[in-house]
Amino acid sequence: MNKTEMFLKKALSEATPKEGPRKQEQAALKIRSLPINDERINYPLMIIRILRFVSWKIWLVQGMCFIFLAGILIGISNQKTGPGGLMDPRLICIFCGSLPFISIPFIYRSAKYKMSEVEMGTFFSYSRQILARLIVIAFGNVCMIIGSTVICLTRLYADIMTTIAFGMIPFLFINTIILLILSHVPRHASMWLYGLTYLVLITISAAASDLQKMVENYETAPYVIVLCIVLCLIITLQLKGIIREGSIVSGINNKECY
Amino acid sequence: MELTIKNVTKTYADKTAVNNVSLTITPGVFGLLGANGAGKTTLMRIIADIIKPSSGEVLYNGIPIETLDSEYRNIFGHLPQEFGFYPEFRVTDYLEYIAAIKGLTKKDTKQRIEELLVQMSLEEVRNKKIKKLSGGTRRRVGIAQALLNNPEVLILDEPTAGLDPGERIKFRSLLSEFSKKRIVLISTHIVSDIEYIASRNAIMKEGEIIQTGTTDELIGSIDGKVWECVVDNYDLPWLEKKVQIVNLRNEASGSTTVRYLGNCPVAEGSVSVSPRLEDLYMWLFGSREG
Repeated sequence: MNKTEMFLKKALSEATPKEGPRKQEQAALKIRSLPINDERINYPLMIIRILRFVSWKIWLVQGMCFIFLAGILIGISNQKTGPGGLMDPRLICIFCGSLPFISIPFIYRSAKYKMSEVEMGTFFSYSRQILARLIVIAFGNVCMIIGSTVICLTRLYADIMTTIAFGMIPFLFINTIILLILSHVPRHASMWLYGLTYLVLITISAAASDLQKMVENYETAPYVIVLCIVLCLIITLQLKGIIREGSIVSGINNKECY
Repeated sequence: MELTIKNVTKTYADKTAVNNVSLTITPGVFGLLGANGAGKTTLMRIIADIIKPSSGEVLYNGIPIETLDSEYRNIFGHLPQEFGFYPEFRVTDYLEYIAAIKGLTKKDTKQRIEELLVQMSLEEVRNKKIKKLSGGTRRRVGIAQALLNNPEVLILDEPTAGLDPGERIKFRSLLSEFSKKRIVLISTHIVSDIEYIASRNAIMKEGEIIQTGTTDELIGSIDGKVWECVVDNYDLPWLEKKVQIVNLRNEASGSTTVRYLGNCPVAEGSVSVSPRLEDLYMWLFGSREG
């Protein structure tokens, strides 16, 4: 038995139901104030340790899908305007908005392979494990959006504001929707919502050409930037909520939020 | 060390899976016996803090497990009934992955995995993909992952499903040794899993605990209600209609030795025999109850 386990044992043995809720609460606080276990690794180290099990498959799929979608985007642009291509905001919007959808199956992998019950009974909470997976996905997503920006600027000759408005904003917007669904909707019902979200993306993309004139007018630039920042903040708050409230729908029968 | 389940109820939209269950579990093997659908898995999930009860609470040494949170998860191991794995995982990958999310250091991980591979006879399959293993071997991998963090509370839901008789015996010895200073909670409908190793048992039926006690105390309740007789094979259908048969053994002379349950003997030549836990199970869960 290690040092922390001894501490834990001693602290736990001090509290019994007869001693009243105040004493219990004190004991619980005492336990919480202890370094959880000097023999346990911390969260960042856990992420590093599980990287080799969860990351390569996610990044491989993200990379392959990105190359495929980028090929289509460049191909269609070239077809329309000749080699070198020219940007079509509708295509950029669909392309960048589609990127977050690639990783959805990986979020639900543990429920699909019935791993969630084992994963829930471990030192690091299930929400933190999902968050670790989201961090891996986010890394891939950031690489993809950087790649998309480079393609838009160098291959499609889009200006920076158009790239942000029709690339970055749909990308961030879809990410917020995905996190919202992940936090509030059970797995069996969520697939319909993801489908619906994609339909919304296509509809918005169709209107992109009309919006382009507005964006080209640099007076609207601050609004575009502010919208980007707001979406980034929403994503950060959503991720914080996942850790703080454990708001991940697990897929375990009748487990509302965890 | 004490695990207390206090008036726990779990209600789903259409049924009550666990109904006002109260139990106190101390170190040793605690057997939770019940037919399929009795509510065992739901109760195990509540104890493992995987699902929340509709009412009531689970306390570890007097402190609600919700308050303890990761401290509680740190000291328990759990083998669920439906044991899953990622298809690309090899045995060691799986154990290393679970060790990481259990927060074990690299050094501890290596040491514990080596120990458990030996203990669970998994050395030969350590580099094989789990999806290619037999059901019994997969179960052993599941048991190994539950033991990785050397838990104080071990929760095993149907742990021996798929194990062959030899593996079952080995598993029982392992648990017997392991449970000396720890709480081991086994939920099963296989009576022999717990008959000889459980220090206490609870029998669950339709979401409620209907009996608790040591194996001897429990089987004492059907003392004088278990009978054995030898009947001609022609009389067997008649006897089957009259009583709850626990066991049949064909004899060479065209007759059958029958072990049956009843408040009084119904066949000629019946003798009262010592009850076993299996008899109690049949008494409680057989098609002709009581």
